Amino acid sequence: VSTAPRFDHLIHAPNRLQICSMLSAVAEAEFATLRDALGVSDSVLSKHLRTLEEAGYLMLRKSTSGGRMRTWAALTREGRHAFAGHVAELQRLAEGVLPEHVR
Amino acid sequence: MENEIRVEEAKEALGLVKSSQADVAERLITPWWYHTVLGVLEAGLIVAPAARSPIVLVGALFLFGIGLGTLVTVYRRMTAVWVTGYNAGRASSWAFALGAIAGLAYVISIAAAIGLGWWQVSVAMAVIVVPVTIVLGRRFDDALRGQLREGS
Repeated sequence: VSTAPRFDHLIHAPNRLQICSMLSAVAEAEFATLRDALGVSDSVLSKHLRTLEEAGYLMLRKSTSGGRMRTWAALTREGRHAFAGHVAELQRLAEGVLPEHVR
Repeated sequence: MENEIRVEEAKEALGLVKSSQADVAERLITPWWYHTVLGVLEAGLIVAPAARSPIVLVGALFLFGIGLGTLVTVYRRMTAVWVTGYNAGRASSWAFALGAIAGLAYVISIAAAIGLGWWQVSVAMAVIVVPVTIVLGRRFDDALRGQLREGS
């Protein structure tokens, strides 16, 4: 079943788009992995994760491993749906296709 | 003009999506021993009915659970990402195939050893499942990385 194209301003910000792209490919990823991939500070990543979490797009989970606390991030079902819709809309825009209500 | 900008911006954003997913593909490096250990754990479970003892059957199930949990924890710690085999798009077909073969081998082992007393069948099933797990597990990894690099 294809997802209906829907532009999502919250996801479109480059750092959040990267976060959602990475998380859409996995079940969950660790905070440090996302931070290193994005090349941002802990505080910047935390802010973006919190924004996505408050929108209901992301879940954060803490676990202790090897004596230290690790934070894991995962997209929620709603987050995956919103991301798929956003990517579908980007594809539509990139192909220069007009939205259905304009055609 | 607005459309031209939006087209370019959309293409740029799609490029970012693709490169981010390709980045994940590079991080999904499964340790060489992972599928071997998984295969050995499965083999332990599958050979257990040969003993024809409820205690051994339950004990093997318990050890399999503990072993699998430990294996997953170590994998997560090493790669810092986790992919659910049964929810990984097209690559999942390899995980489903592995699950089906391992499940079938376990059922055959129980039926042969407990039902018919043919314990050799359990041993044979256990021996077969190790290379099958290694081959199908690596196929799953390759398929998953391939589809992430393609951006699908």
